[in-house]
Amino acid sequence: MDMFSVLTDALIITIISFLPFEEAARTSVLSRRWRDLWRSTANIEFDERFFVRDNVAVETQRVQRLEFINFIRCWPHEDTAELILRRFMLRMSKPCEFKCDVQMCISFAISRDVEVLELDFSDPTWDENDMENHEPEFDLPMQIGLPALESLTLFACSFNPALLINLRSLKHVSFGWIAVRMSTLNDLLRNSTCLESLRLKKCWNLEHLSIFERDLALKTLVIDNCNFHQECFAVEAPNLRSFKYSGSVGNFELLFTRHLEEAELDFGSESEFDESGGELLQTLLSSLDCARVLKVCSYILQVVPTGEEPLRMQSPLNVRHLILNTALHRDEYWGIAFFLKSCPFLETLTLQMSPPRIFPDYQPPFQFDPSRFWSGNIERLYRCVLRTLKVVEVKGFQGTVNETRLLRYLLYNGRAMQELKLYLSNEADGHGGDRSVYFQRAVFVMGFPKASPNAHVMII
Amino acid sequence: MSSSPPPSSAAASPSCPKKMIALRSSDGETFEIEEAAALQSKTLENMIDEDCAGTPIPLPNVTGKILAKVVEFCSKHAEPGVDDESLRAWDAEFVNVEQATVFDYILAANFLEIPTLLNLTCNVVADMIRGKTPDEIRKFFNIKSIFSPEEEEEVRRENHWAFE
Repeated sequence: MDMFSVLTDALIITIISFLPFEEAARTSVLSRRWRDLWRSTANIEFDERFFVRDNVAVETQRVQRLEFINFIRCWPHEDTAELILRRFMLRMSKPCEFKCDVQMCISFAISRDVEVLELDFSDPTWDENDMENHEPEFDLPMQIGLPALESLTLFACSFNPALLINLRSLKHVSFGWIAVRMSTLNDLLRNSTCLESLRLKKCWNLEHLSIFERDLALKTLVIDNCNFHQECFAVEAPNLRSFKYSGSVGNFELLFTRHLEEAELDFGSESEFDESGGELLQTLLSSLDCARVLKVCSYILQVVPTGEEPLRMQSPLNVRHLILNTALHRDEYWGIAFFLKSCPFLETLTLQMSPPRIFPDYQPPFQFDPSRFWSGNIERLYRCVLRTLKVVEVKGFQGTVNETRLLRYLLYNGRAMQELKLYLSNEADGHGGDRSVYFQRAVFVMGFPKASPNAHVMII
Repeated sequence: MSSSPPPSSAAASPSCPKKMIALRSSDGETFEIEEAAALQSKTLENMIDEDCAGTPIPLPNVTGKILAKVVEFCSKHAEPGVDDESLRAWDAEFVNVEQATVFDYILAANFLEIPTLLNLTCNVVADMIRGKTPDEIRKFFNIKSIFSPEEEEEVRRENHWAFE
């Protein structure tokens, strides 16, 4: 018996509303009953990228774009009281070419009292790493009367800051590719007292970051490659659980509490080795010392040992899961050792293999022989390796000498090890290596001597 | 010592006896539920207001087996001081049941207008649909496609962008 035969159409629509828009559309083909139900979904995503492919000629793209606009224009607009619209997302580049349609979409969403509104007018051809400031593609009308709005995302869409005053139920805000002033952010934090997450991506015009609202409810703060006049970040957020920062190294004064669960730092945009940067990084890390999950980049691995204490943090970190964005090359060895020594409770280590970041003027804290660094001298016997490390994951495993050196060391000394998961890389390594070669090398790793009788190696 | 039943909108304090509501399932079983828990259901909330004191509220659309679980759910969600994470874990366990039971929960949650339970259970079914091909979905839920091949082709063409 068809399980859905006991449900009304309205209930099926409620279920469909939990699906991403594309999947919802695919239910149209399940049976006659399902053919049009998906069009009543409470979760609408008008995404240009469903229609416009990036690997076709410009002329074809123009045709595909028109098809997308037509799709929007034909969308049922009846205002039936029962038809709830919870989320409305519109993503298209160059909205100025279809201004009326965009305005109609926004009015449509507002008239239905959406809880989640996402407008993304960024252009996929914009370079993610380019800090160039793009003019906003669209200007949001002054009044959006949505007192019940819980989540607002505006990318490449400017707005009048006064608009935020009435949005007191806001819990999630995401701004991208626009100019924002610190005063706007402060107003937002002051007015929307329920705000739980704030994300800033590729924003500019910020003088610095200074967040000191009393009783800040904020749980998530993400700063993604923004342009600040001054790289000063002073944040007091007693309820913060998640902090992610990518951009340049700056002056961090972070007052978080033991609620902090995860922290991610990515200084990949730094291009020079800063031999005095270690102190600053160590101070930054100690303000994040409660985090259970910590992700750091290659720059940190190379620079952190240049502080006064090159071997470990002055006070241990609480980290249980450490994620390293690394190539495991020798310039990173001291940094990796630094973190192993500073995380005495570490249970899971994830190595996200990425292309090496080489700084021509890198200086190690001590002279050393890379081939013997991980050979299990007494200095390399860290508490976490000996006692607590249970799971090691390698994402993008290719079986290079660097990878096998470290893995041999971890298996040889890891008395608590339970799992070593090798996720094979799908990319060619430029020397004739491919997935089958990586597989062979992974099998080789399986044969390494293991301190823990329970340790077993999985190849994925 | 006697204490009068607290007004229906106030939370019961430890020294006052909590007001219990009686419910009767379609197959004649009776269940008791605390008022605070019963208020999770808009249907029950309306019925309590126009209450004929004490007689069990008949729920002809819900069997005893399902009503017992619904009472459990509402009681758990009315408990004070449970943190978000534990409640989420409890909910996950609650819906860790066979397919047909999830559908029974959906119907009960719909009839009794319990938004938290309705969202939870509908999301579970959506999870069962997510990531599957149309054929896999049909097989999983035993949906008979009465489309002719031409009709199906037409629908696929109509929504081609979703299938590419």
